[in-house]
Parts: sequence; structure tokens; C-alpha cells
Amino acid sequence: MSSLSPLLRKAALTLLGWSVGLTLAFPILWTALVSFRSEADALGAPAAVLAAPFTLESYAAITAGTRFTAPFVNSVLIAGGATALALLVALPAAWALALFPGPRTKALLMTILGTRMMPAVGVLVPVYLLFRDLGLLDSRAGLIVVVMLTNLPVAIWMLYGHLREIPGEIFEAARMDGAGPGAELRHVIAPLAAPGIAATALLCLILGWNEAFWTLNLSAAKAAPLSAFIAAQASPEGLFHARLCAAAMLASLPVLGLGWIGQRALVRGLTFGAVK
Amino acid sequence: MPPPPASRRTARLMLAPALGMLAGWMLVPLAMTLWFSLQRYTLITSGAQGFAGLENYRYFITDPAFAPSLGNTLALVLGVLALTLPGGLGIALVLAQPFWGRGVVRALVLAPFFIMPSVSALVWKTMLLHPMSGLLAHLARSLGLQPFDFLSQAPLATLIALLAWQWVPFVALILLTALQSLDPAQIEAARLDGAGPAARLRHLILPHLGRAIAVAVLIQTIFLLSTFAEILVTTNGGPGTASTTLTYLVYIQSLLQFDPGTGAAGGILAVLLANAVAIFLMRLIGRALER
Amino acid sequence: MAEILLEGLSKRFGTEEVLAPLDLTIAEGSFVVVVGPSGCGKTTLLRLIAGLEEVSSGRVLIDGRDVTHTAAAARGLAMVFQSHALYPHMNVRENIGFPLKMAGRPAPEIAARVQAVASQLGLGDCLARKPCQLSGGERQRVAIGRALVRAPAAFLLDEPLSSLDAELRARMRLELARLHRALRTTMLLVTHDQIEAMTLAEQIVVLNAGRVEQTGAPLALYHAPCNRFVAGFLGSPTMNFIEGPEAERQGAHALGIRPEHLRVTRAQGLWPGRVDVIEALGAESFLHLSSGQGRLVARLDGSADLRPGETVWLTPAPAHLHRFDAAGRALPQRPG
Repeated sequence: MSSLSPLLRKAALTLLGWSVGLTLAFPILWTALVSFRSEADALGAPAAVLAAPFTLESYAAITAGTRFTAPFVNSVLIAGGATALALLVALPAAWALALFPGPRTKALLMTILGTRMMPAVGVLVPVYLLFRDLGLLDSRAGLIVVVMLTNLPVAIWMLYGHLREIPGEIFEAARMDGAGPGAELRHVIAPLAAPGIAATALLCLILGWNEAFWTLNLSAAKAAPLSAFIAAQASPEGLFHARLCAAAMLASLPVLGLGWIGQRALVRGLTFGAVK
Repeated sequence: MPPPPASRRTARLMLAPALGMLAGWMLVPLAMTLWFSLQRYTLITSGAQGFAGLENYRYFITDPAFAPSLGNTLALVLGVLALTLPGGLGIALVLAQPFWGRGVVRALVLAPFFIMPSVSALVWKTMLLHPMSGLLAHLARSLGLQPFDFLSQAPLATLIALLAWQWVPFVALILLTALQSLDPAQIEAARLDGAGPAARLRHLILPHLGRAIAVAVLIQTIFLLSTFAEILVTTNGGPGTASTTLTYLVYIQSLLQFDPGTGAAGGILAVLLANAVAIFLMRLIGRALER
Repeated sequence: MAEILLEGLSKRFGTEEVLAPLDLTIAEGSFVVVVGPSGCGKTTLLRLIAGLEEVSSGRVLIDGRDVTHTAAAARGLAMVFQSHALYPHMNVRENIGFPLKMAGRPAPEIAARVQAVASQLGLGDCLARKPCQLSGGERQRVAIGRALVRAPAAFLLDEPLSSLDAELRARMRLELARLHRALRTTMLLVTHDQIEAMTLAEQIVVLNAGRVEQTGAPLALYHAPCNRFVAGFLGSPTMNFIEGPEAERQGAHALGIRPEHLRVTRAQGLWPGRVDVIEALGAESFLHLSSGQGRLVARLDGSADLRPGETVWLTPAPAHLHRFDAAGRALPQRPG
């Protein structure tokens, strides 16, 4: 490649890069396209679908009743609630691990990580029975708790990684400068920890929104979030292609947006800091 | 330097809720699974009917679906890895070079990973692969071919393709991140030493990516072992047991056939399998922690 | 301005004694430099005085007031950290003003004092910038400014120049000396760099493995080190040490002679030596030689008219010959 002129090389890379990108994203791009077609047009041959007129009628149709909006609201509540709770519990824990390291800190971190490595299916039976006996099946509260618990190890690890990067001398400088615990928290700790907290929240939101084991197994009509709702559209061959695509787009867009903002956080979070 | 005792006490207090919750979340249900797996127990009669010994394990292992499910699980993991590792490496190498519109291409490449699993599965099933109305069926007919019913003719291979599509952005992103930490001076030194692109890839880039590749393999494996929604939406584990994995078999036994004893026994087996992989991953991560 | 008095101050981490009980008086308005190799306990000493570390035994007195168990902020001391420890989310103005804000000073007073300190340190133009937009020297100045603005009783400086490059370090060293002359505030600086110690200190404390080896004025320590450690630690290139029959002949276990006190002649002298390497710096040259007494370094004024491989004669100046016993202690100068 080094024999190619730089401009030619860049042009070749551009062509290659774009073809890879468009190929990989094609199913999503096609879904987006069909979501803007009428139900009748959506069933045509690809060329006809491409040429058909633009319309928002599928979006209007699915957002009209509560059939789609209810699971959407459930998704927002479950992912949001689970994220808020996970941060609430993880922040003090990560703080303690990062700033007061002891001889058992590493063992604790590895234990926390181990709980995330456990396959969910290994505890499916007892969790299902516990939920049934506690009346938590198909409840948003129950799902918030479960999603929060699956995200907790990720949240602790990510916050720990971020907090550990703050040099300890900064806190000592604040103490020398006369900052009490309250002032230290407000003027030094909070602003320094904020980016890490935001990145962690982002990752928890993505994981919570897309969670598709417990939401599918522990919810029915009432508390079902989008992941369960969409999965339920698989069996009946209704062939409402345009509406299906509109629902798929609305279910994916929030996370596509968050995911794009949080790529770096994602690598760190999902590899538990092993790749930065 | 060790902190004073007072702050150590505070630290313990700050840790307690998180540790308590995680212990409650994993250890208690895991112990219960172990207990159920040794009991005669059904969801319908709701109640244990005595110690069963290893009977549940015997039922689970002698189930005609067990052997295929183990083979399918293995094929699924290996198949996806075989596609995502070279694919992800290639994409990462391209994305590491400057070209026009790289930011947009990055967004396009990453998109499949962020799509909710049930959405991906449904889009593939109805929009792309449907033997009547799917895009590929249209394509086949326009070429004068008979449309191929992917999900019933080649369910496992199709599932592997779908999962590889979902995971290749993850591998690409990890390897790209690792590539960016490679000192450009090393590449320049290698060029001066007369190393061509292939030699640079083999002797410089791949060794540098070693850790990241290992992490990508292990994390994917752990998540792939738990694949659930994609199977539920596309094939339901069928036809027959053609796409039933271990995870899916446990789900069938526990919640569809209302047999918690056998399901729990399968769950324990799944835990053992996942732990065998997790040990390697944890060791890698533990080493990274010490740096 | 304050006098700092340390009485039997010590520190143990678990069973490990990092700092042996130590007595030290830091006179009001003086500039004291604690120097020693890394891990000698000098930073711990500073942190004990600052109140960032609990003492294991002993007392810290500032102007006669026992502050051993007083909170760090209430001791009236300011510290400049090795990493500078600037608040990354605050701009220069906010960084310098932070101690005053914490002390609850009114905003106009803070603004005025920050302005005064900034112009004193030449930071007037970058008040609105964040630490990440500053050069190493500017960051250093902001860290000093943050200490200066409180008008502290004394400054504690923990390796403040170690993160700077050689040229900047030399410049900041001068600035620190000027600052001390202008303020006459007590300063206690900790460093591993003997040049910093020699140039800045009115009094040097040489610390080694948690113990004070020697205390005194820089040149007093340079010319009359009390043991081999101090003799070897101060001065660059380091003192030549000679053991064996030559030392025994002079009634010592080891002899020490600084490079500038070795006379080099072509004709006759005490010891013959072969020139290995010549480092010519223009104003001075260092000769690295092999001799019957081992490897030696000699300093010459200007450039030397010698070539590597040549054999020369070396003669130590008798008045500057140091003698050490087997334990490394300095023996008294021989009369005559």
C-alpha cells in the first residue's frame, strides 16, 4: 500500500470504509426506510419500496394507542430507575474501594466482577419462584430491582476506575486549603467525579434498555418493556412491516444516540477496564 | 499508606449495601438452584417432595435435547468468534486510518451493537430472511432462484450470522481502542527497519493487540453462552432441537415444561460451563487492575 | 512567619519505622531543605508537619503552639505538592482563590488578593485558563500562588521542581530563592536533588533511611561532612573514595577527595592514572581516570590539553583530604 500515492490510498480507504459501514448498517438503514413507507408500499419489491412516497403514517399509527407507548414508558422507567438505583448503591462502594484501598480491595473487586460472570440462567428457577411468591412477576418494581442488580457490578467497576484516576494529592490539597468534608464534596469531589458518573449512567442506561433475559422471563402484558414487547411481535404473521419497522426504530433510537455518545465508556465498562 | 481506622470503618459502611445486595442476588439464588436441583419439585404442585439425589442431573443429561444443545452451544460460540475476530480486526484496521467521512462510518459500523437484541432478531427474521416477504427472498426471486427459508433450513448458521453481526462492532471497537494506544513511533521504527505492511501487522500490531483480542474472546464467549432473546424471537430453539442451546434448554425445562428440578440441574451445569471461561477472563482483568 | 519545632517526631507504618525520632528547629524566616535519596522518609516528614499524616510519637510546635493533633487546615501552613495538585476543573483564578473562599473571605477581597499574587508571579495573563491549558512552569507558579495567597505561617514544598525539565528547574529555583528573599517567610523544602539543596538552603538536613545524618549550612556540610553518606551525597560529580593500602597508610579505612581537589600534572605527582574519558564543558572539564586507587574523577578549569589514553599524575590537596573509619564516620583532619 505504501507504493500508492497518499491521495489514491485515502480514496481507496474511503471506498472500503464506506462499503463496510453501509453493509453492516444496511439492516438498520433498510428498517428506517421501510418505517417511512405506507403499509401497502412496504410489502412491495425492494425497488418499489425504495421509490414509494415518504409518509409518517406508521409512526402515527403506533404512537396512537397505548399498545406501543405503554412498553416504551415501561422501558424508560425500568432503565432509568435501575440506573438511578445502581448509581446510588455503587457510588459509595466504588468510593470506598478507590479511596480507602485495603489488603482485600482486589479480592472484593474480583468477587463483584464474578457475580456479573454468573449466567442468569443459573438462577432462573429460584428467581422466578421468588418473584412468583412475592407477587413481583410482571411488575415494574421487580424488573427495576433485577436490572439494577445485573448492572451493579458494571457500575461499581466503572466508577472505581474513574475515581481511582483522580490523584489523591488533590484531596489533600483541598484539606490543606481548609475545605471541610462538605466543601470538599461540593467543590472538589463532585466536579471531578461527574464525568465518570455520567459515563457510568450512560452505560447502565444502554444495558438496562436492551436487557432481554429477565425482562422476557419475568414480565407479561403489564410491565413488559420494549424488549419483551418487540419479542412478542415475532409469532403472529401480521405482516405489518411498516409499523413493525417504525416500532423497531423508536425502540432503537434512544440507545443508538446514547451509544454513539458513550463509545469510550462502553469499551471501558464492558471490558472492566482491561481495555482503555 | 493505610488510612486511619475511622475512615476504614466508614469505607466498610459504604461498601456494605452493594456487597449485601450482590451476595443476596447471586449467592442466595445460586444456593437455591443447587437445592432445587437435588429435590423432586414441580411448579404445579409447588413444593418439594423429597430428596432426589442426582436424579435431576441424570434426567437433564439423558434428555435427548441435551447432547445437541451442548453441540449447538459450542458451534454457536466458535462460529461467532470465527466471524467476529477477523471481521472486527479488519474493520478496526480500516477505521484506524484517516479517510473521508470516517466519523459517519464509525457510527454506521457501531450501530448493530446498540440495537436491542429482540429488535435485531425481529428485523432479521421479518425484513431480511422471511421466505415470502423478506428482502433476500425478493432478491432470490429477481435472480430466478427459489427463496431459501434460512431459519428452518439452516437455523444455527443463520443464528450465528445474526449474532456475529451484533458482536462484530464490539470487537472492532475494542481493537480500535487498543490500536490507538500503539505508539506511532514504533510503527515508524518498523518501517525504517524495512518491515512491510504484512510484517508490521504480524510482528507489531497483532502482539500489541494480544490482550485486547483475549478480552474480546472471553467477554463475547460469556455473553454468547447466555444468548436468549435472539433464539426466542427467531427459531424458538427449533426446528426440533436444531438451534437449542444449553441456556435455551434450561429455559424450556424450567418455564415451559414446569420442571424446576431438572431446570435447576441444567442451570448448575450452565454455571459450571460459564465459570470455566470466566476464570480466564477474571485472571486477565485482575492483571490489568494491578497496572 | 513562624518557627517550627519538632520534638522526637517519628512515624511508623505498622512495624516499619519510616522516620526515627527526630528533633529539629526550623528558625523563623529561614529556608530549610531536607534532602535525601528517595524512600528516606523526607516526604513523610513534610506530611507529618502538614498534618496529612498522624504522628506515631513526638510533637510538632509552631511558634510554641502544640499543633500535633490540630487539623491540617488549622495549622496555618501552605503546601506545594509534587504533582502540583491543581484542581483540574477550576481556572487559575479559582485555583488560587480556593483557600480564601474556604476561609470565607468576601469576594472583593479574594479578587484583589488573587490579582496581587498573580501579578507577583507573572500569571496575570492566564487567570481564566484551566490547568490543562498551562505549561509546566505556569502550573508550578499556580501551585505556589495557591500557597502564597493565604499568607501562611510557613511554606512546605514537596519536591516542587521535580516534574520540570532541567532548564525550567534552574529558572524556578532562582524564582523560589527570590520569593523567599522578598517574603522572608519560613520555607521547608524536600528534595532528592542535592543541587537544589545547595543553592536554596540556608540550612540543609540530610536524611537517610529515616534518620538525620547531618544538619548545617550548605558549605559547612560540603566541606566538613560528618560521614561518608553526606560526603558522597552532596557535590557533583561525587567525591572520590579510596580504600586499601593508601588509606591505611594515612590511618583511615577510606579516603575521600572531591574532583576539584585532585591536582593533575603531566610530570610528577602522588598517583599515576590513565585518562579514560574527558568531559569538556568549556568552563571546566572532568577527567575520568583509571588508577591504582580505582576509578577517579578530577575537575580542571577550562579545557584540558590531554587525550584519552594518556598517563598523568594525580595529587590530592592535603587540606581537603577526608578520612573515614570503617563505620563511615569522618576522622578529624590530620594536623599538618
